[in-house]
Amino acid sequence: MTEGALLTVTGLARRFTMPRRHLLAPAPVVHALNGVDFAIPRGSSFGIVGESGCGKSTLARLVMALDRPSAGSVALLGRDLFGLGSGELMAMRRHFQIVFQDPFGSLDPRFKVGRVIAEPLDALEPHATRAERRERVVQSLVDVGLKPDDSDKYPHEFSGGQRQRIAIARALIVRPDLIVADEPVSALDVSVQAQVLNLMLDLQERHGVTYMLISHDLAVVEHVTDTIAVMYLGRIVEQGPAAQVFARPLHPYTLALLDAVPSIERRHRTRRQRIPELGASHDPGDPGCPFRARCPRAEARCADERPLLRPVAEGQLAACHFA
Amino acid sequence: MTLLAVEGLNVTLATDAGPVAVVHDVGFTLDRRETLGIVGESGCGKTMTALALMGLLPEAARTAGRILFDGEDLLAADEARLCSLRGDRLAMIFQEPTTALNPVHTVGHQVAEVLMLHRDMAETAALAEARRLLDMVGLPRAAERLAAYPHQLSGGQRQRVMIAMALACKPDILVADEPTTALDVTVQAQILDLIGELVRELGMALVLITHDLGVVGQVTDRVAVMYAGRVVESGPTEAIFAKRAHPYTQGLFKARPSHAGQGRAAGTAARLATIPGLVPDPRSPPPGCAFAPRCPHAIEICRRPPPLVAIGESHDALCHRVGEWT
Repeated sequence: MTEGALLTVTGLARRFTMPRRHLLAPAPVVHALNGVDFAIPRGSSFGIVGESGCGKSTLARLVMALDRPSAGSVALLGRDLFGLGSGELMAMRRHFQIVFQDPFGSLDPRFKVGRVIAEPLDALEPHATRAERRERVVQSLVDVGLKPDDSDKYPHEFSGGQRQRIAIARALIVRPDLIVADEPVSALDVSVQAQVLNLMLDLQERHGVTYMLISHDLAVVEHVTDTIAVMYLGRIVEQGPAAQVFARPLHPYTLALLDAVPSIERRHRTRRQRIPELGASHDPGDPGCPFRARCPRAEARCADERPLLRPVAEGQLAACHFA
Repeated sequence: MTLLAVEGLNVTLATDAGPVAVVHDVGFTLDRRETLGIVGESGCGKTMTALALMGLLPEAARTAGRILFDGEDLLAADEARLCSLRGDRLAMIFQEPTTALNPVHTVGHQVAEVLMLHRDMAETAALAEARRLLDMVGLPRAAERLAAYPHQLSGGQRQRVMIAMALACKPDILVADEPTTALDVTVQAQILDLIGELVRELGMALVLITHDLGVVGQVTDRVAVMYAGRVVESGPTEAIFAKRAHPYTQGLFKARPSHAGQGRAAGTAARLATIPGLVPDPRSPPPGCAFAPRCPHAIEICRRPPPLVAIGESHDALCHRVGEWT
């Protein structure tokens, strides 16, 4: 356990058994998460980047205790979420909340905004008085830059950015220590995205909330977080202070991700260093590096020995033999 | 003659609340091997402009102006004529390959269909050509994949199939509406490279619609920035990236988080610049400049329609006050 960490994830793995393809064949197993370790200090922001299928959403579901791991643990405030009874887990949920990607799908269209926002409060602090409930809803609305009167409107009366504010207000109402934000701005236009990111930074300063931010957008993650972890096929392949990792990526996959971001500086380059497309998911029985088939630097050693995540520079970890 | 000249394009949609103008006086020209980026946020009219080029606007749409393709006005063309042009000389790549492909036909058949329809090819010859096209767009194991159904492919692979269909007849104009928005960043890079190569090699003209300024900067020669149905600034891509004249273009660029080390990791939690307020409701547009209610530089005169002001060589902005602030 890391000293003073709000959230500690240790050896987390999740396997999904797929439907059998043949009566006599063993059912195929997908290893969505293959042993992930990290700790998030209180008041900081931890960013997770990676492409489709890297396991980032599986990780979010496990941290939210919406799913059970195949191995490993998630400890919040020093307590293992999967070692708790259901009543205790329910009581712990006050400390962590989530904001989803799609502000159109995550708000019940039949509920007024006041009820949407109060829902976690009703579930987790049912003893709150009506007056207190009303006051907390108003406080949450004001916190995210909406008006107290907005509680009597329906979600469809709001724009995408405002709906994401409502989703954040709902997460805030129980005054959580940790907010998991899964692609919170990727459904929003650029100018609105900036408003929501600024709001997240403001709330952190005001309430000291800790974020675990999941995004495929490298610029968003760099802007908001202190520490980032780059995931590839269910494992963290590089981790470190965001500015440092972006300035000096040491894992070839991080380099490829950064290199792939389109920009005007790239217009005169004839051909970037391309990485081949992702094939099937990694076979955990394979002793080698999961990235080697796509890696421009792969050598014989990479097929025999899987590189472990190890310190490669001040505060920076990478899982590559050559980092 | 210019390959494509759009002049004073207006699109109005009939709604329950009466006609709503969604595209106002859009104009641009495009030649072979030229690429034009149309940038803007949701509801700015960029997709409606693309659909107008393809003759695919919804039934309820009314148009005015001209879209001259090799001198022929597409807005005046009948459906039979448009059908013979679409897929042959005009092609479009849609944002969502998952919904744009037909789930009950193999991808080989869908690519071959275009060739059978427009080139009178026999099925075997068309399938052989489809194989070659899927190979060209970099679909791995193209020969086997002819018999695959869309659901058996990944998002990036489906987008490659869409591109192969669009390119089957070597179109003169390719319209790509957010072709990489649904894709991962490494796949996006491959698709953008591919589109760029094809423009150079086949001599197509490209209209690329996107909200991503990075994509525009990397791929296009010229940019048109749209806001509330109008082109508010247009010019050579490099000129616009070097000097943004319209306050909306400036706001859009500033709102984007960048890798410039201004993030909180750099020490302070710097805030992004935002554009206050919301996009105007097209049913009740503000008088004069549509951006004025959100513009930091708006003054009384902005309540009147803004003039098109020349900024530089073929670089214009629709604004009363260009250059009056720093």
